Amino acid sequence: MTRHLISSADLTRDDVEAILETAASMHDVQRREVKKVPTLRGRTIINFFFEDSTRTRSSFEIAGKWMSADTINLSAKGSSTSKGESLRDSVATINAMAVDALVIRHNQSGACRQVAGWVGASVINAGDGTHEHPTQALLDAYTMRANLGDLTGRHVVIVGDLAHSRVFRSNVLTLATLGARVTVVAPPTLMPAGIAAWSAADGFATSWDLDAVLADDPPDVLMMLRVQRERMSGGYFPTPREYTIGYGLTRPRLAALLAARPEALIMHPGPMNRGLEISAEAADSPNSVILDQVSAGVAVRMAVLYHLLVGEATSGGYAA
Amino acid sequence: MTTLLIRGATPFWSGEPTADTTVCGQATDILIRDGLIAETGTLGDVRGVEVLDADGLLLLPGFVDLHAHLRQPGREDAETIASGSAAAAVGGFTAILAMANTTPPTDTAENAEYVLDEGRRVGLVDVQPIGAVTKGLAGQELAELALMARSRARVRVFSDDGHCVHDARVMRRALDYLRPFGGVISQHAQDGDLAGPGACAHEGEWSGRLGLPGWPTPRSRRSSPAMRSWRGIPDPGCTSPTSPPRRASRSSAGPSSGGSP
Amino acid sequence: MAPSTRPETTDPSLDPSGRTVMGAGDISRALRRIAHEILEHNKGAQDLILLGIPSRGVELAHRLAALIADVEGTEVPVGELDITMHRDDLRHQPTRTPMKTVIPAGGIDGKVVVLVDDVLYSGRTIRAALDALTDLGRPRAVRLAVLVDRGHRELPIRADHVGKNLPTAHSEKVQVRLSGHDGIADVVNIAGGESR
Repeated sequence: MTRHLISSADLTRDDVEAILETAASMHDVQRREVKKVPTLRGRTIINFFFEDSTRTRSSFEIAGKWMSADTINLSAKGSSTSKGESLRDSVATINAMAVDALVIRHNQSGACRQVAGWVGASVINAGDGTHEHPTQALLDAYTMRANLGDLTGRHVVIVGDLAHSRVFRSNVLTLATLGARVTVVAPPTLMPAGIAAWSAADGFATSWDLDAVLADDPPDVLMMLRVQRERMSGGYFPTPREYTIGYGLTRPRLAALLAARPEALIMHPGPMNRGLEISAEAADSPNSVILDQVSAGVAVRMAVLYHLLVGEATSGGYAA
Repeated sequence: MTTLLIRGATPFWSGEPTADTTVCGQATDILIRDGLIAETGTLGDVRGVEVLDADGLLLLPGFVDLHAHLRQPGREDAETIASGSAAAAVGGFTAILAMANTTPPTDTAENAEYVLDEGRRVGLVDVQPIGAVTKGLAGQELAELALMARSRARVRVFSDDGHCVHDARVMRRALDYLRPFGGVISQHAQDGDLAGPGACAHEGEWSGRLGLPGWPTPRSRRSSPAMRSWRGIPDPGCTSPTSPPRRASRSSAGPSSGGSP
Repeated sequence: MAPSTRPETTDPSLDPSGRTVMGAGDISRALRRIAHEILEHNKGAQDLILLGIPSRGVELAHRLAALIADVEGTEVPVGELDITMHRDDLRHQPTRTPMKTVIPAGGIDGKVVVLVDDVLYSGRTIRAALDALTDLGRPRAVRLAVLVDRGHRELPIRADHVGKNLPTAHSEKVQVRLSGHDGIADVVNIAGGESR
């Protein structure tokens, strides 16, 4: 395994398989009365969050604690960052304290890669700008595999604000690694720049027409991404109503999907805008595995910490 | 002033290229007296002069940089008139035009003279200030263009570089106002509505993959309806990071700014 | 990046220079004796649980359960106890992907847990297993059954039931192969040693 987890592209298929298998064991630990293993005893993990987050930060924190690491949360608010300290200086300060892992969430794409070049600790990307969120892709893959088994040849459709979505960027990489077929759907204004060349090179499909995709190639997994209402003021789409009619998982679309694929999974990385990108019926339907995604979050992050921090100390840093 | 003899240099500007040479002209000796070329050709021994052996070297005229950022006053941590002058001199530039987006900006005659004087004090190259088009680079009211032109700094190039003069009416007034003293305007050709302050990459496949806010170019979204209106603009065939401005045709009276702010 | 390695004991190939110390018949007789010992010691199959330590301990636990069922007519619950997360040598080995832990319905509280493993060596695996058990509940008693005890203990741990005591040198490798796990006939080999 690499020392850092910055991009889903860093993980080979073997790596992903190992992490997901380990996550399955960790999921068992989670169901026990004593939810603790001594694996990371004596290790220090810092969750450095420059951007608000509830589920990701808390799941990393719980993951570290259940593995007996000392886990400390820092946020930009109330840290030296709010006093004007640069990212480099903040990170150098933490690095000087000889921590073992830095879990970083930052609002700038590429921040984690930068930090990885500055520190001895393992860096885990917990979301950098509109770039990537690799542990989210892993927990999504975990949830899909728990329900569908092997993902080879399975059709996954991702719908929403692709241009600003790090979840999409990591998912498209991990799903390719696991052999799934992916189609991404968004209005042209919410497609990332250069998507035509990118999708051609990486072998996924794109569409502006959700209904056509659902009809022509009904998916095994339909993943709805959060659409921020703020995007409206940016002119990405005219009104929530128009977005929902074009790209929301509405009741009629849900019915059409389930008629074609009764076992289809409905996913959403959260937090949901009920009524905008996903209807309440879809979010609460028996096909929805949205809460499974959350519950897989801790197990998958335990597995990531395990594979990055355990094992022969070959990578320098502060390993001893 | 001193006298300098350059031996065996190949002047770039003399003669026509031949089939078997890639450089222009023939090697020659050049005698420079009091800053002027006094004699050329094959010269015999000249006594009491400094000799520079330029055998195999090209002789070029001093370059002029129309777009330099010396950051002084205000951001001396990044660059100073002295450090920028030194870098220019090493690179063969004998004159540099200092952009106006300093703190405070070069939007008055006094500020322009400060840059001129500081450049002279350093004394490595000619430092010529560029004046702001609008007060405080704010794009709203004209700066004191005529006073800057009449100052000791004799400002002739004006630019809000770092900021685009968005308002077509302001730009038109500026262009009109310059006519009596023959100034030119250098536009920072970036439309902030298309490429905001976060833009940091050419828009295209890799800005998309990496999730970086990009500068759109006519190529990057040729198929997108938003960019279709640009098709009338000839493809510049270059990789300028800035987007073609929507009002380019009206504001290109002067040389356009070529670099990033 | 290199894939995480599985425990090397899952490689079914045998070192060709090894010599056989237990054949299939020996292994079968040893397990049968251990099954009897467990029942005798426990005065029947009451409250017994067999927990195999992956990977070969699991197969041994299932075999012991089948033997106990033959003798006693009672199905003894069998589980699997992975100890990877509790090892004390994680820093000194390539990362292993943990195996499953399966605890029989009803849990281990108040039960007599028999840990089953193939080879007892330093005792550190069993130490880790005892720690792992603590997190799962509170058994009334814990016993240890192993196919081979090769000595060289580093911790005060002793097996209650041993298939064969096998004096070895540190430099020797003890290789256990079981038909269900490895797809070849049951055998215990000793390899290496003199050449090292």
